[in-house]
Amino acid sequence: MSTPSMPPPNQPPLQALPSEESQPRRRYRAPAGPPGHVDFPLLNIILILVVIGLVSVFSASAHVAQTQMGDALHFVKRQTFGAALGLVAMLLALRVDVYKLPQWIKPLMYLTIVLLACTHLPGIGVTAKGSSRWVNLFGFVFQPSEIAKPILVLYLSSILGHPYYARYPLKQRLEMLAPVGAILGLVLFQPDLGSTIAIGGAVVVLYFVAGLPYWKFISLVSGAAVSVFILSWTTSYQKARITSWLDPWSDPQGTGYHLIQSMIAIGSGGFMGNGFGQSIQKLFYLPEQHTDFIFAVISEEFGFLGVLTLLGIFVWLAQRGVTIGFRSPTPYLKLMAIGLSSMVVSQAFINLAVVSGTIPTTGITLPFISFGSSSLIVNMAAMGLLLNVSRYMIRPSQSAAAPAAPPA
Amino acid sequence: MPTSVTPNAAMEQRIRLFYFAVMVGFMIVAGRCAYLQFYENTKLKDIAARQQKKIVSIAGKRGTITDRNGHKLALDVRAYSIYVDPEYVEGSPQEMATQLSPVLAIPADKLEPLLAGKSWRYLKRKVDEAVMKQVKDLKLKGIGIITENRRVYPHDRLGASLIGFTNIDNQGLEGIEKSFDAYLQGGTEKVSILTDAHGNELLRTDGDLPFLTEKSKSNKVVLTIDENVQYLAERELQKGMDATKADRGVAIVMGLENGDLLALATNPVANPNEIATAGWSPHIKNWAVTDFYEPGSTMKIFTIAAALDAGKTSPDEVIACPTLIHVDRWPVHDHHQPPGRVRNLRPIEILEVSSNTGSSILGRRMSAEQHRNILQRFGFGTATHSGLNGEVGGILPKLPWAASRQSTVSFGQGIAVTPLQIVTAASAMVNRGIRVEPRIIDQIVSPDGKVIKAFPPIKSRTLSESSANAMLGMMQQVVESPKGTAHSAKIPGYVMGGKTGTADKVVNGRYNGDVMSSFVGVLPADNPKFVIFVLFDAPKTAHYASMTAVPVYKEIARNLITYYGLQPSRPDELKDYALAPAASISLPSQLPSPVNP
Repeated sequence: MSTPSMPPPNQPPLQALPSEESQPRRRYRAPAGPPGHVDFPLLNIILILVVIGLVSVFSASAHVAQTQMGDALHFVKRQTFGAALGLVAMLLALRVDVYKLPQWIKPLMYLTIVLLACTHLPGIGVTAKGSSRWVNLFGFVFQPSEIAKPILVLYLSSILGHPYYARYPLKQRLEMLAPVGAILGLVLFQPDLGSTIAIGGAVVVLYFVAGLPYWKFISLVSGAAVSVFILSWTTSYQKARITSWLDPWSDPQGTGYHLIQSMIAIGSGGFMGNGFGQSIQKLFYLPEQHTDFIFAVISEEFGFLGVLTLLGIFVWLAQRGVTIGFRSPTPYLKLMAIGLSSMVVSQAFINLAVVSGTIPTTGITLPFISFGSSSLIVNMAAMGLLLNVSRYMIRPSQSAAAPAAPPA
Repeated sequence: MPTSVTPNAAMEQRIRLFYFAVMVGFMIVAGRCAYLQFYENTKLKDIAARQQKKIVSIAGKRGTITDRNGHKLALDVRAYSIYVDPEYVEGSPQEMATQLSPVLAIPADKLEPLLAGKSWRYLKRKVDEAVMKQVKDLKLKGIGIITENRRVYPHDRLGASLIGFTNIDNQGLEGIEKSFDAYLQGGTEKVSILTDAHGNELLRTDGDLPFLTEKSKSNKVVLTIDENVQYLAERELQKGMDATKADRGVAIVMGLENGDLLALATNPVANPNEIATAGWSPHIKNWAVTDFYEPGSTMKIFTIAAALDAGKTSPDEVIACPTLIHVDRWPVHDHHQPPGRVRNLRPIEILEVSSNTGSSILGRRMSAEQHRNILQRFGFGTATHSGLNGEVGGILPKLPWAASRQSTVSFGQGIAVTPLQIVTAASAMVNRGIRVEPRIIDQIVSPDGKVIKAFPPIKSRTLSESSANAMLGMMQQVVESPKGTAHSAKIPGYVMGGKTGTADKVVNGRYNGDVMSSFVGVLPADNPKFVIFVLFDAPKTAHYASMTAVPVYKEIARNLITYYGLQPSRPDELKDYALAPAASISLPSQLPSPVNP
């Protein structure tokens, strides 16, 4: 590609394709810099979510931290530090030129895959509770699968959003999926089914929005669903999760414990909740009360009103992502907007569905809310990118001046 | 793949679908939450309560002992015991000992073997909440805390020998605590508490003591004692002890209407709050009922009363009393009288000069059986129904009585009584011949306020009214007459009465030269309301009751007059009295009953 602002994806230079030969070759022109300001509602949503997260982590973890660490603020301090770093990451992501990002996607993808592989390396990888999800680099412990999400979104949107993507032969288009498959496979065999589904969900959403035909889309989703089910059914602990989801009361102290405690927490919240800090289930009844199951604590303390508020904020986030996608001028930006927002929203959906018992249990955190610095930093960086993208939005006031840009 | 020239339009269609899917997904989650929070709310709340609430058994609070006005004399407060369970101990015992030592105030070298031991041990029992919190804050593994109750006697020594005390396990060991242990025992209380999943109790802050607000499940024992009368009796007794240097002393105040014991003081007495730390003290014993003594000349009033009641004499009869007589070859002589003289004495004069020979003559006018029966009616030889712990009946010799035995019993030797028996017997004389059994427990009240056991007064006719009144008259003479041995007890304006008694003390079967010096008095003697008894065991500064017990009686009487507002019946005596109360000039016709107002 000769355009400096849009370097080629990891493919050999394109020559004339038989099917496209008749069409005039259109040169890609980069828009001249971001025209507008960031999407302020989205900025508000992010800040609100971070604050809700800090407050909820405090409420959910204070007793545990006091009992186990002797410092009620142990987790809150770390989360606040994470939020501060996340803010820095968000501002950095806001400063980069999104059109130059694809230049870096190849080394980033390699780095991600290497990091994911490192989780299994003794010395660097950290294994806890039977899964190798963490990497310990110079004292910093983080989850490479968290980093993988936005990088994958970036990778796919730069490929799928490329104007000549459709001209590639199927074989090459499938080859482009190899690193995606590698990442999904590595995450799956950490094992981390929840993150795999969340990443896979974002991948599927990106392909769907990019215009994958419906029959392909449906067969892809159903194929994925069937394979996930088969995989689950053949793994003993995954099978136990499905059976305990179907009937948690058959083993209330064993496999059903997580779900039952979570349902008790949500159910005893009622309409108005017990009040902030008044959750009793967080006092060691709920497992992972400040990480995976923090939503149960919020439900118990703030009741159905709190649940609706939180769900509303995530839906609002999705709505902002969709709006940014709608109004972005190029497919690349559209895909990036949808990919980044769906990454957060789908993970939130899976977490909420798991905690409320809507789908079988799988370990996944609630973005922005659950305790976890690496997740918070990565999510805030991703939202920084989304804010960055939002600056290219064609706003209604501008649409009159540029009649070609607005959507149909 | 769509290859249209407007890829954006197709993409936007897909974006709409994605947004729709997100909405649907979140609505499903919201619906699920609504189902849990509304439809299943009650059920899940029940389950939550079942797992979060824990019923714990804690040592129930022991019942309270109060005086007649409801003032607490003994009560339970929450206390905490610190134990070590070596199975869970982590870290070196040495370190733990140095950490615990300042908190528990036990030397570290004493704690260390306990911590290093192999078995479950108490480190310290019944510490305060503050100490418990300090121990808790140390967060030592293997050190635990048990919530218990500690018995507290808010007035320290007040009524200690009467109330008794409990051991560290809150079992009554002495006094009321022991004799009514079955009623006072708290048993175990079941309390529902909120816990976290590890079973630790929640919602406990410094000011929040849910346990203490729990109502006690144990009964309340209400004594007939009046805290204030008990205090003044103890105070005056202490003064008497200081003055006489006696070994022991007893002061008893009994109300005549129901036989209510208003004060039962012994001296010296140990502090029941310190029993656990200072060790058991013999002074905690209520020797007013557990020990008996030879009453000596105090017995003479009962001999004369018996003779009067048996019709063997009359108040006006003049009896020839030699200063020395022989009964079955045993000599009986009057003190401080040369032998070989004969005094003509009326019964009252026998009392006044305390004539042994006169009493012996009068006693022996009755048959031994008749004599013993009347003494039995007075209550000698059997324990009263007071319900006090360890009460004994004294010694009333069995029939047949030799003449010498009857003779010595007549003047109070060869018979043994408890101080409380003297008070009981005296009540018959001053109460128109009706003896009232002493009551120490007013009632036992259940936690919900019901009286589960009442102690109705027990009264029995002991003397005919005329002989009782004659005896009362004689007792008045002992104080009122200037010749009487207790004339110093006279309080102007009031009619007083009583009888001194000075008995040789028997130690190991021999008279050792010490005496038991006592006074049994009545207040006021013209309308008896109280019997007051004061006894000193082995006073050193003076032997005669007029120097030992009588001043104490007088002071107690004076205080009772003030406390109950008794009106003087002889206001003319107060004319010379500078401090004559103005109210005493016009007397109300009906005096309020001081005992059961």
